[in-house]
Amino acid sequence: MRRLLGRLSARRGRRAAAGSPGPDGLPRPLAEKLEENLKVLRDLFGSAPDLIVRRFRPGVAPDVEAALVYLDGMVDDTVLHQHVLVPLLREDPAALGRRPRRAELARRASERLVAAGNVSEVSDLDKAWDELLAGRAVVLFDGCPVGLTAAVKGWATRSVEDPGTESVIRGSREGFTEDLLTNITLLRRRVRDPRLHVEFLTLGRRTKTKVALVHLHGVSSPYVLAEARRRLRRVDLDSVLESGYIEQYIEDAPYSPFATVGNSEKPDVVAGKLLEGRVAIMVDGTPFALLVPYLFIESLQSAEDYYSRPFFVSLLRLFRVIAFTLAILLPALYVAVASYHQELLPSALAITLAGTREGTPFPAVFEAMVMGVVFEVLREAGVRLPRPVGQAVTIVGALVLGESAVQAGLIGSLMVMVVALTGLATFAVPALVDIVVMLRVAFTLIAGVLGFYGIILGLALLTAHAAAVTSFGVPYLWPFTPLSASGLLDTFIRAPLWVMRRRPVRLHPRPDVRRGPRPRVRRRAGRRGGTR
Amino acid sequence: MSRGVVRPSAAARRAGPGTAPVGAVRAVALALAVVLAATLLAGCWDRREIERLAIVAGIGLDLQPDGSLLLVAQVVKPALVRTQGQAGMGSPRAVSLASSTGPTVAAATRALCQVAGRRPFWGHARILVVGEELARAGLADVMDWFFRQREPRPRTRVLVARGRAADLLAAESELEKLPAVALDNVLELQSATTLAPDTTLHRFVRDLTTPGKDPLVAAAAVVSRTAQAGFPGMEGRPPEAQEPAAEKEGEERRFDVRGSAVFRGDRLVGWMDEVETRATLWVAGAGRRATVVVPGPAGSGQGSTVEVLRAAPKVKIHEEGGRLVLTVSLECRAVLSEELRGPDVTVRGALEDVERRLERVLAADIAAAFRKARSLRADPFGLGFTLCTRYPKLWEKYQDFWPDALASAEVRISVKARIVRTGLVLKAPR
Repeated sequence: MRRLLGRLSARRGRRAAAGSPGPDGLPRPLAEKLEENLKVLRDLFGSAPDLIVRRFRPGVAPDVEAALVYLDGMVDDTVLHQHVLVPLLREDPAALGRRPRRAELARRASERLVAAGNVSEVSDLDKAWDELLAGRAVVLFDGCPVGLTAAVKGWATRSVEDPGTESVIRGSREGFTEDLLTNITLLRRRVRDPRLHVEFLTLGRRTKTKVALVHLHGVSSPYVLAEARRRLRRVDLDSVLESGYIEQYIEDAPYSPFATVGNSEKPDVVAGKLLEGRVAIMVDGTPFALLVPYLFIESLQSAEDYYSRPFFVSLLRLFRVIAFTLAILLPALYVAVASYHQELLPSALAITLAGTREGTPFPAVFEAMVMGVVFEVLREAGVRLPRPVGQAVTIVGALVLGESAVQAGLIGSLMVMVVALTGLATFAVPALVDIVVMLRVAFTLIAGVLGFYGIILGLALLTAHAAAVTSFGVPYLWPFTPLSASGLLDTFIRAPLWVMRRRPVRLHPRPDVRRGPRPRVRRRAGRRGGTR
Repeated sequence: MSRGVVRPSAAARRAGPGTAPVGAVRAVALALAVVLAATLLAGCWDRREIERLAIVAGIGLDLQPDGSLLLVAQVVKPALVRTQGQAGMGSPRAVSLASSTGPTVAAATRALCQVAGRRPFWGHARILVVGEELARAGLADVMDWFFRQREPRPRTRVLVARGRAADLLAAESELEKLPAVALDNVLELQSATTLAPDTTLHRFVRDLTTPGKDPLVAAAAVVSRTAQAGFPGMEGRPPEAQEPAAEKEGEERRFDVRGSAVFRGDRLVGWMDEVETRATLWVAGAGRRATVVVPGPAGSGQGSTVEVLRAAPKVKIHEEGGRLVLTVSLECRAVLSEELRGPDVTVRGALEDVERRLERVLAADIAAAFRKARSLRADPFGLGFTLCTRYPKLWEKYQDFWPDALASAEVRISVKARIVRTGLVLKAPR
């Protein structure tokens, strides 16, 4: 029974993606009579005030009733007037050579009159309202079962701005916008290769969101591409408001703490990933592009890593690994040491720890959990509130609350340090914040119950789980397991670009050299220091 | 791309969003049940919050007149360790002494809970002080607990108190807030002075259980705060430990680690001063850096002080006419650390002269050490062990009466010293 239902829903999904059914699921051809068509459209839109119907008589056939239909605000008024309305109104019958038959009006008008670039004919109503919603103008003629649509869209979009989520010191400051075509343009400007292939799909039964599958033909893995296509086709949603909707439907391990679909707001990052052989899924209405396959190591990488010189970056990578470890384990280690393994600390540290905890009323694990919750509340408050207020929250929370809690003897002062350090470490690995917060809670609890034994147990389970996850056919922990020597060059260290000459092998099955060796810089012998 | 086909919990997706498949629900529920049962039933088993422990920094053991053990624990008061300010005299002590008695160590530790009100934690004990009485009675019986339990550590350093261990643990330290830590540090510093053996529990028991080797343990006494710490050498032997009874009432006391306690087996049999201890440690191969005063020619007022960097012993044993002959040779390298109106080291032969004098001083020290050890019928050098491992035939012959054999053996001592550096000054100012 379940399987049958599943199959049905899958079939429905496929159709939703492929065709464009009417609200009742059946295509409706345009009627001959203009009035009939207009009535259906008006009913469909519930007499929306922004549905503009401009009746006119075309100059080429003054005896024919015609209507220009568009959605106010979604079209560029100037373009609409100059290139659609004016030619239709002003041209006299001579413009068409001979007087057209009514049924041919649409085709003739598109051939000779309408001066927009993207003009097409439309013969059914569903297509017509689809086009209206996409910001096109529809021209219907009485007695003609074919309409005309012209691309005159011109809604307000945000301009290309500094991306909010991934700020860089060095590198492009452009971020994606909410407009899909702008975003694709941003990509094409970076990768001027006709083999940058873009496939469009429409997802969302009601939102009809345009989704683009972008890949670099010949570089991307055909397996990954086919898999991405397959999974996208199976997505059956009534609305796609953000790429996150799709992400949750196509990810490999929906019940895992690890994300198997990456995202980025920066065109240069997406271009870089495409050049590595990854596939991007871009969704209209959001500046976040999805990237698959997404491996664990990517969450420790940043675009800037490749723009800066390799040695410092390698050190940074190491710091990020440390930060990730601290962010997950520090409270757990504190709890384990304070409640179970006092002998593991150097004597002086153990005594100091005991001193800070002298007289505190709660066990360490409770303290750690409460402080963890307080920290997350503070963070949440700071994120959601307007920036000036957010700062006030942070100051009040962090300074006043922490200080007075220690003063009152409710919590140990070391605990405040642990929480602060953990928080800082979390922000050092922004791509992993979600995972880190969840795992930290889990590890703190298990450390409170089982001590170090629990931590080690948890780590073993976590590693085993992560090793079992794949993202679009690529093992999540690649290149660590399965081990790849060449892959390791871009992990805890970031080798010089000319050393990483091949694309990541797991992502890109064909051997391919992407970079040449570094040209030798010769110092001329014998000539010392002088500038000519 | 070995696995092109991916199985992204297809079942979950087929069932549609929001409804997890029944199999997954059952699996998750089962896993949760197992995890909860495992953690809640067995978890928190050994949980003990650090602030509810009595962290013991130093342990003292004394023999009571009635034959029972007196256990003294120097318990840390963590809050007072943390507070800013001067350590030592005047300020409130950062440690408290808790003591209990019992027929065995384990029994006494349990009795200690009754006094302390907190569970004693032995993992951070830095020193074990054994009272003279107990040491004379034998330590083998009290050692068992320290190794059978998992909390006490074998690296805890051992000292023998001249007098009662309780008095030594009650002594103050000027610098350290925890007197036990100060004592521990003194022993650690022996790598630079070699005036007392740095013996850990582990080493003590190892020496105890090694055939032909007797433990040597640092000796410490309680003295008046104003007593000077003298260096042995030019002015003769160090002062003997003062009797605690001689102390004035209410006077601040400090400890004084000097020399060593000589054991035969697990029993204390006598004391060695610093010089004998140092020579013993060199022969045993356990000596580290040490400062040695080398007097110049009599009446010249000259003298050198050298720092011996390393001394490598070599022991050869053979029989000559039915008598055991031990040839102990020591090769050492030293640096000149101070000169008194001394020779100009740039003059040929001057340095060699100091080397010869140094050799004579060291040879005399070693001879003194042998005299003391032989008179106590103990072998802190581990010569018996050398015999056992290198000359098993001879060992078979002598093992049953080894201390007496050692006492009657002929000892030939040769020292070879070399001064390798002279420091930055060519000629001492005069």
